[in-house]
Amino acid sequence: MQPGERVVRTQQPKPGFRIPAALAAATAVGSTIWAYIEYAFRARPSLLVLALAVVLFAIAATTLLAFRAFFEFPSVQGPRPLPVSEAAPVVLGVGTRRGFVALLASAFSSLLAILLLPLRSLGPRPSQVLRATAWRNGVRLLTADGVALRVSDVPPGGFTPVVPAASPDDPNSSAVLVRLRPSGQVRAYSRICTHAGCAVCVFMPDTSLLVCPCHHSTFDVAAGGRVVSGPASRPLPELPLAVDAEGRLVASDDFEGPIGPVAG
Amino acid sequence: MARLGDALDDRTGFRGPLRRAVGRLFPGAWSFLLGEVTLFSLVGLLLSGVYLALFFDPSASLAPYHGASTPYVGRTLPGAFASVLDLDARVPFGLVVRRFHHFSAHLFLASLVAHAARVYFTGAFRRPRDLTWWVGLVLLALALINGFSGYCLPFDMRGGTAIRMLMTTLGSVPWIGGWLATLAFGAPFPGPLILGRLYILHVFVGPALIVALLGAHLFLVIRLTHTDHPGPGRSERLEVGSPLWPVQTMRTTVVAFLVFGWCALMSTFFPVEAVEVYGPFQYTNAYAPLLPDWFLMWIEGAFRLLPRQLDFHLIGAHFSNPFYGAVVLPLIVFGGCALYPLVDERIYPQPLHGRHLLESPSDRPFRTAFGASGLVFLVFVSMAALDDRAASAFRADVWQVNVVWGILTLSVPPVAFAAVYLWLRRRRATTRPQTFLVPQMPARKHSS
Ligand code: FES
Repeated sequence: MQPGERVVRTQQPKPGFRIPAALAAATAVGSTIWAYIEYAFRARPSLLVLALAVVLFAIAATTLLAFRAFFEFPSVQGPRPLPVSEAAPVVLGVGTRRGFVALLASAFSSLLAILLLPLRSLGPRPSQVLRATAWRNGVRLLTADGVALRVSDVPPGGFTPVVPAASPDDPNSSAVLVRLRPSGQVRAYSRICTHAGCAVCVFMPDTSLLVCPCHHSTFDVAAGGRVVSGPASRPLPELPLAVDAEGRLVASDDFEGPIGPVAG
Repeated sequence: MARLGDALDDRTGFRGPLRRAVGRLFPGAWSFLLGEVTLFSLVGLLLSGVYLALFFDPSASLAPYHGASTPYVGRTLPGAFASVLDLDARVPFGLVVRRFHHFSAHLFLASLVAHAARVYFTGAFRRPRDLTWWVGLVLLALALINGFSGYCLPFDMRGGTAIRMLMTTLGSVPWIGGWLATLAFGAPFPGPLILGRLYILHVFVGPALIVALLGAHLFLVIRLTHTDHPGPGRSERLEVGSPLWPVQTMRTTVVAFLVFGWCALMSTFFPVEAVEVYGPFQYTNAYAPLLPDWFLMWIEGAFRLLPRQLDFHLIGAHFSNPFYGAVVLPLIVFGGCALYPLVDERIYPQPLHGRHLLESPSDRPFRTAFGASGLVFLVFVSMAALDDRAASAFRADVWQVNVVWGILTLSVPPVAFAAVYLWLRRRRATTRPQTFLVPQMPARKHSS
């Protein structure tokens, strides 16, 4: 596009630069002071940021006012690009050269394929990552505060999150202990929802249902964690329980199934 | 100054392209400024993001906290969470800049969606601009992904849950899911690696791709010239508008300061993403409903609406709810957006050189009805994420609310489609099309 091709219909309006320049100077001074105050007094964001916002809006408004004429600026015309149709096709060559291109392409694609191999180093085998928990026969059930639980610590209808004494910080071993009403039976389940992996953390003792707050998968604790409603497709894995010599609750094995959402 | 310019021009020859750039024409309608809002919120994101990155520690390992946030002193916290607490409580400007980053992100995504809707409903995506549309769609997808990785990072209750959902989503892909989740996380959840990996994605890979594709997008806009609404003096052959300097520059300046001003104003008054309130991610402390950011609510809603009865097994693979909600649904939505220009071309065939002027949504019943019903669908799916709130408001069971809402989500969009389509057809039949007397300028060869 040549500059000469444009048809300018009117004179450009002359912008006044004084107000924006003054405002810019004021902003520079103001923000220096602001920065000093923030550093010196560790002020929380309140009036100071508000001041910044006001200054920014003021600049916008001033620009708008100073250059109002530009918003109704008379239009100018220029050419549109014409469609490129049926341009001459790119000729790569014939005979041996085509073979050469194919050779080059296969060389590059095999190089690329080899470069993908290091992706394997990103992680170990899925079975070591998705299923691993710290529950074994004899591992005690601790509360979040580290207290080893007895059956009598949980009232009928009660519910508490528990962790394995072997590795209390492992999120994948997180479990819940519930005591059913009226039977008084204690049962433990994985705390990791089999739908998408939220923490199952609501217990409704009257119906013996465990509910995941994320998408409301509901599991029947009296029936081995069967799904009652919601999007989860697998029962909540149960943790088999026993009582050790000191009367504390322990696991008698790992969960009765893979924890968390199943892999596809 | 002039000598410096001469010296630079000698070496780079920048003056010719600059002169051409300065003369670029921009049409005047306000809706064409939505893209600029996106641009400046990205600038705000990058600037505030660099500052935040200087203080953030992407680690999930637990350590006793002895920082500046008094309520948490003495507790054992993940490194990432602790560094965000300190950022808020100790680092000068830390809290403001973090809030600013969040509000820029919300504005970035909102203006992207609004911009895409404008382009869709006015037919600005038609060939030759379909490539611009596709680049824009990839930008939107990248923006969603970066928004997601961003709110994972503080490893607060919401962030940690989001990371768990990410593992589930990767794992839910049939056949290869286990490997995908394992390779992404590298260790049992959460593991020592994932935050660092998300961090690199969030602060380097994502932004680099976004900036590169934005460059491509703007290049195409300039190369193809801007579209314009039909009207007196507008024609397919000529571009009409105001030059970049000084007219568009002044408009742009106003937009830029309004964007920054809005973000600063919001950061003043609204404690967005208050990780201090959510607390660190710990399974043992989990509590009631956590929602993702608004731009991911449609996936959350789909998780809740899709019944488990749709699950099935096929040659060793398990097709499950997270796969439908977080993989299939986004593929359908983005695939539909990507394929639509090809469909549109069949329905409203036009000569290739007749596509610089925009079309009124009311003149294109199918396009408008399809877009409107798509938006209605997305809004309904997103609102399903509020099912528990609706249940407690109406004293109903969540599953009852879900069934009713699921039926509505499936039935309202087709009804909306039919209603809009028939209404616009009737309207088009009864109102005479508006014609403008377009002053014909002699056609010019495009020289470049
Ligand atoms: S994660 Fe528990 S219902 Fe979705």
